[in-house]
Parts: sequence; structure tokens; C-alpha cells
Amino acid sequence: MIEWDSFVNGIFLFLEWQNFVYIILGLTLGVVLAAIPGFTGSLGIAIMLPLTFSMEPLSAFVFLLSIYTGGLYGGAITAILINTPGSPAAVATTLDGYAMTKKGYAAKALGLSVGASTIGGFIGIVILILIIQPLASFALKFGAPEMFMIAVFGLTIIASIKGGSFTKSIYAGLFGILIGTIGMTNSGAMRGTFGNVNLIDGIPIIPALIGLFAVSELFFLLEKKYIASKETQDLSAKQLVSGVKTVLKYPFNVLRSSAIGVFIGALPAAGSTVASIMSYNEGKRASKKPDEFGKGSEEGIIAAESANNSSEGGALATLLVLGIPGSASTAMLLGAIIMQGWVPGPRLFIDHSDVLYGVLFSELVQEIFLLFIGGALALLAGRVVNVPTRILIPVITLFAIIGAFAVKGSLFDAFLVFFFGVLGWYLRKNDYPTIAVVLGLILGPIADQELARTVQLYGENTLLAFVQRPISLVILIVTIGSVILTSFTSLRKKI
Amino acid sequence: MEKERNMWLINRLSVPILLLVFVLTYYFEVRDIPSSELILIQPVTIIMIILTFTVIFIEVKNWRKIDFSSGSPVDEENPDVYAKLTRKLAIYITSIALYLIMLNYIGFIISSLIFVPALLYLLGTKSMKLNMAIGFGVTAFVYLLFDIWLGINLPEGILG
Repeated sequence: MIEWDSFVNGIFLFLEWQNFVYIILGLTLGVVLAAIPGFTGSLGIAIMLPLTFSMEPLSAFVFLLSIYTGGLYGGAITAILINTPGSPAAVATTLDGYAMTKKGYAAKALGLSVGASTIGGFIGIVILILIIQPLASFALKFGAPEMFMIAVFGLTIIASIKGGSFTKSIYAGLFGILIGTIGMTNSGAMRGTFGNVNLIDGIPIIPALIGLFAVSELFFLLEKKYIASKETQDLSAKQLVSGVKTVLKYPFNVLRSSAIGVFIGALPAAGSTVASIMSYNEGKRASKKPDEFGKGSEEGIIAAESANNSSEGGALATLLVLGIPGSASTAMLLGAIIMQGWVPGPRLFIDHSDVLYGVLFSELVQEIFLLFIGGALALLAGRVVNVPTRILIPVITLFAIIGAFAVKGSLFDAFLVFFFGVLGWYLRKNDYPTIAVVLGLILGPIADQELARTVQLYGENTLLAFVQRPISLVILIVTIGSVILTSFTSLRKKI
Repeated sequence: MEKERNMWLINRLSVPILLLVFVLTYYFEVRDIPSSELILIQPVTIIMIILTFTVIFIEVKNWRKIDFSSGSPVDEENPDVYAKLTRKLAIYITSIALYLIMLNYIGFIISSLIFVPALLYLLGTKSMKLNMAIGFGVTAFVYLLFDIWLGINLPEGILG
């Protein structure tokens, strides 16, 4: 499957000192930008895209992909330290990452996240190199029914969330799905906008995330002097390294999560967020200590972080082989391909295999560099937990509001941060898990859109389509099986 | 004690009631659009209405069981706690609301130079020199990062 001559030529093309500099710059930029709530790595790619016009194709892709790789990891830093996912892909990381910080293990959680991201990302690229073409072709077999089932499967995690009763979790999740359907449909019908033009595109995910996670958490921090007890917080490099080493204790978790990441990443429009949510869900189901999930589980962080970084491998498969971008970041990478005068599509890998293999090899180098650059930046950012909350709260509030504003330059989005902050605080105080609302908000629109497409395609035979298409049927069986298993497990505990 | 008990119940019931109001309002707003656009919304609405009454039933059942004799629960991890508007919380919520309004009228720089030091002071940092330094530093950093480096125009307000 690998064209070895091209692969070796690609490695030699890559081995120039400038490319290593681009990797360091790109990773740093990606990690820093993704760690700022409201920003994602895709913003970094957008800013730097014009600069790459005059670069050699290989260097340009190495630089932009380094930003992408760094961006996939950076969101975990704030997710762990201040319960604020820097990017949607780090939503699942907040569940156990922040719980570890509150227990005094911030550095270890950061180590787990950078270790899992590095290893997951590495595995993702190895899989990509090995099976790039069959993977991309298989991903194309996923039509609307399969994508709907994927979204439903992701939603099953709501049933097993810690921090609220089963009924309240489902209730909050359905509320998230419902507000996720607000906006204009593909046919132009308005749903739930109440005449507000700012809601035509739906509830923007970034302000909702910042409000529900970051601002609502600040409400709770008002009553505390520090995020965690200053005496118990160990922010040493030793702790970070121990976190990285801990990842190696869970090889099956890393492998499973990376495989999920690559596969989901290859599906257009699914991406790293869905990958990390699904992987977290599966990590919990497969764990011997599922009760620890949501309370600071090492396995939870590993599952979420290895999946979101390995999704890059899958996303690149569909991008490079089929010319289909599955996310904003890969759409901009597609722009870079076109800007270099190349034609995206199945011939891309045939016409430019040397350079592209060089790019893929550079991805392996990037993952190794990420361990050091990501670890160092995370440790530096970790000092934030030692700052008193009376100083931290005004500063984070400013970043949260302006970060949300910056996405579209809309003050309405800044108001939404405030609204979702109050909503998140009120829900949490009344024992409703806000993560359920977020999952509904992220996966609900995917389920809604794909279900509508399925009905358009199959009409009266929609229900049959779910069971007659083999891939859809398999996901349906796995979904039902996992729901029964979760219900059975929780029932057994009650007894 | 009785007041605490009742406040707890009011808090707990307010969520399902507010969500029910939202669900019904939403449904009435979309009821005239083609049913093909409501394929997911209809079942979600029905399940939410059923769950609203289920949650109310559960909350009332819990309310009867909870013992408030040792005073109001205060720990956030404690499921018995309810949302109280403390002084700090009221200050914080009001500050954010005012900041958002100010952003619209007097722009990012002046609003932030007022908001950050004022909130720092109100939350307990009494050194005005430190408050001003943090306010100036954070505002300058955000302005340089967003406006100058990333080219994202921050709100300028009517002062331009």
C-alpha cells in the first residue's frame, strides 16, 4: 500500500532545517491560539495561509499542518486548568481534566493530555500512511443514515454522565438538541429564531461553550480563594512527566481511542469533536473503573485526547485522497493546496506523491515535537491555578467575552456568553449536567440535518434504510447494545 | 428552616417549568413550517414534555425526603444545594451586564479599562495601583493580540 520509493524521497525532501523551524513555529502558534477560548487552530491557519503563498509546497504544508496539530492539542490546556475547552474538540477533556486540577493534579492531567495527544496523533498518522486510500474510500460509503446513526451513538453518552440523575441528564441533553435546531434550515424555513436575525445561523457553538463551561465555572469560583488548594497543587515538570508516562499504562485505551479518532476524522463533517466525545464514551464503557469517569479519571483524559489528535489522520485521508474537507481547518488546507496550483482530488496523491509523503513524515516529527513544545507551554500556563480567583475572574471574563466576540465580530455572541453563563450556573446548581446540553447542542444539529436528508432520500422507507444499509445497521446494533449495557450496569449498582 | 425548604423546592421546580415554557413557545413558533422540517423536533418536544412532569415528580419526592434541620447545604458538590444570589454573585452578574452594554456604546478600550479594575476591586483586590496595572496590561494585551496582530476589529462604540 505504501509506495516506498516515494516515501523515502519524501523523507529526504523534508529533511531541511527550515522545515524543523516551521514545525516549532507552527506548533507554538497552534497550541497558544487553541488555548485561548473562542479561538481554534483553524484561525491560526487562516491567518498564516497568505504567508505560505511564496513558500515551497512542502514547507507550506508542514507549517500549516503544524498549526493544525498544535491547535488540536491546545484546547486541552484551558479545559484542564479552568474548565474552559479552548476548542470544541476539548469538551470531553474538561470532564476529567478539570476534576484532576481541583484535586491538585493539574500538572499530571496536562501530562496525560499531551502524552495522549502525542501518541494518539502519532498512531493516527501511521494508520494514515498505511491505509490512506482504502480508508478514504470506505468513509465515502457513509451516507445520511450512517451519519445520523453516528450522531445518535454519540448522544448515548448523555445517559452515563456523572453529575446529575439519569432523567435530568437526558432532559438537559434534549434541551441541548432542541436549541441546536434553532436557525434557518436548508430549505429556508426559520425555526426558533423569534425574528432575531442573529440566530439565523443557529446558536453559535463557541459562545455557548464559553458560557456553559467557563463563565458558569467563574460563578462557582466566586466563593473560592483559589481554583484548588494552593498547598496540594503540584505543578512540577516531574508531575507532568509522570502524566506522560501514565499514558503508556493504558495501551489498549490509546489504541482504541486512536482508531476511533482516525475513523471518525475521516468522515466529512464529523471531525475531532465528535471523535473525542465518542471515544470518551467508549473509554468509559470499556473501563474497569467507569465510576471514576467525570471525577478525574486518567483513562477519560487519555480517551478524549488521543482521539481528537488522531482524528487529524482521518481528516487528512479524505482531504488528500478525495479532496473533501471535513472541517474549517481542512477546508483552509484545501485552499493551500489550490493556492500552490495543485488540483485536489484522487489524482493529487498520484501527481505529488513524493511531496505528500514528505508532508506525512513531517506529521510524525510534529507529534514528537508536540510532546516537548506542548508540555512546556502547558506547564507555563499551569501557573494560572496559583493566581487568586479575585484576580483570575475579571481577567478570564474579559477573555471569554472578547474571545466569543472575535469569532464573528458580533456583540450578540458576547451577550450569548453571558446568557449561557447564567444558564449553566443555574442548571448546575439544580443538578443538571451542562455537558449534556453541550453534547445535544453539538450532535443535535448533525442528527437533525442527516435525518432530514435520509427522509428526503428514502421517503416512506426511511426506517428501512437504517436497517437495510449494513454500516447503518451495525452502528444501530452497537448503539442499542451500549444503551442496554449502560442501563443494566446502573440498575445493577442500584440493586 | 421552612423557608429554606420552600426555597429549595421553588429553585428545583423553576428549571422544568422554565424549560417547559421554552419548549412550548418554540413549538408554537415552528408549528406552521412544513412537517419535514420538524422530524426531529416533534419527538424531542413530546419527550421533553413527558420528562418535565417526571422531573417535577422526582423533585417533589426528593423535597419530602431532604432534611434541612442542620441548616442550608452550602457545598456545590452537594446535590441538595440551591441557587442563591449572593452579594458577590450579584456584583459579578451586574458588572458583566454593564460591561456588555458599555462595549456597545463606548467601545472595548474604555469599557475594559473601567471593567477590569472595578471588578478586581469589588471582588476584593484593594490595591488600586495593582488593579489599574492589571486592567491596563490585560486591555493592552487583548487589543494588541486581537486588533493589531489578528486584525479583528474590537468594538469601537459610538466614540469611534
